[in-house]
Amino acid sequence: MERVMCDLTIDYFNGQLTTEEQEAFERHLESCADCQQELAEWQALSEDLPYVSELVEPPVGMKERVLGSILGEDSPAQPVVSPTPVIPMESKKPRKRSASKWLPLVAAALVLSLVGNAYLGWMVQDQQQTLVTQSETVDQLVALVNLQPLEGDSTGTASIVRNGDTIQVVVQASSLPELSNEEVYQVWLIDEEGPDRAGTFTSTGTDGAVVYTLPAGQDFSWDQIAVSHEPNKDSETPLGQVLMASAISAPETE
Amino acid sequence: MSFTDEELYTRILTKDSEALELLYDKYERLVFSFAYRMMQDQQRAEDVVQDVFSKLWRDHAPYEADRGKFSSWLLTMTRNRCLDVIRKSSKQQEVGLLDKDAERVNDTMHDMPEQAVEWKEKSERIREALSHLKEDQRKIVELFYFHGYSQDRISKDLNIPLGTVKGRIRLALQHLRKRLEPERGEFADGTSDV
Repeated sequence: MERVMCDLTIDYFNGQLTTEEQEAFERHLESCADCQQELAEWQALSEDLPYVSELVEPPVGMKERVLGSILGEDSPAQPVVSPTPVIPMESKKPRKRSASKWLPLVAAALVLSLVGNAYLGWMVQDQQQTLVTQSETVDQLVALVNLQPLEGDSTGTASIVRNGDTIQVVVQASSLPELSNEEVYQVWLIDEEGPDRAGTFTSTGTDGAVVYTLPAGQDFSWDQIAVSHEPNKDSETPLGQVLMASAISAPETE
Repeated sequence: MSFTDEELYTRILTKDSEALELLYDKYERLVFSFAYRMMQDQQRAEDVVQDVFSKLWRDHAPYEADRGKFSSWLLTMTRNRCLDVIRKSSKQQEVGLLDKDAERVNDTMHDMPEQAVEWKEKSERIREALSHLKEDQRKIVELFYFHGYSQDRISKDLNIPLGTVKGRIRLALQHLRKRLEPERGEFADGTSDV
């Protein structure tokens, strides 16, 4: 009987046993030093064999499909910050950074934004047109991105506009969830140290927009933008659900 | 900025999607290339890549650092998944012929991640070693490792007695190993340096 089991090592290694056989073999394996040793031997002897494979280029878009699918299915489990309302800071304390909470979210948003959101294309074009036709002075559109929905189905765009030394961040959003009491939508600019506040807004119907002007002389040094649903306009770090996010950056000026 | 595989793996256990992406970037080509060799089909290879990383993300596949290198573990997981799919679809391919629809990585090493360069070097050495095996030994390695056939099937395909299959596989692999040994920093316990 034991002999027969010991003959199954290769078929076990190659996954050729039925579920019942496999379970029986694993029970046997626990107490059979010979089989344990033989299995380890097959493992060691074949360790280099994967490298026989010729290196081939993965199909175009595989990363977006694979990670998009894995993280997309998982999106309900995205870390959304604690629902407990926090009392607004009274004085200007040093900003509390929460980069560790943000990075996974931002990475997910990045992957989603790579996947693309074609149906917003018209909106981007539309906005570009508007900005171009309205710029009597020297407004310069330096970046324009689609915001990727993370929670709910809000959509929107974010753009960076430069006029001389003044840099403005313009966010437009639609299909926003309803606000109650003092709730607002908060725009965040994010770098590897965490989120910075960049304007709040409310909605008319389900649409909303905000223009945030950076302090004079400050460069646009962030690489992500996000919009969250906050209990009031005083959140120093995101407390509510993050509705949308995207990668965004301003190219260096000459 | 770089993290060890173990660090990334640990972060993945906490659902850190950035760590998943970093690990994916590091191993995408290797896992795909191996899966493609096993499946001989681009779409099926991509499905395997998806399954492997999905398992890593969702099921907390148990990797233990003291039981070997992360890359070996990942490749074992890839092979097991391939064999699983092959068995279920029972579309077992004939020996050898690969369909060539996947684009080969060209010889220039620009933009190649470090892992890919390592792979290429290791690959050349092991293929060189393989070329020194006798034809029937190469064939048995192919059927055993890349096709994952049962002993019974190997015995029938190669028309050799069932009782000799195991011994022949072992002999072929040991020859291969002996060929490789002088060329790489090989340790007595069977771990390698790459």
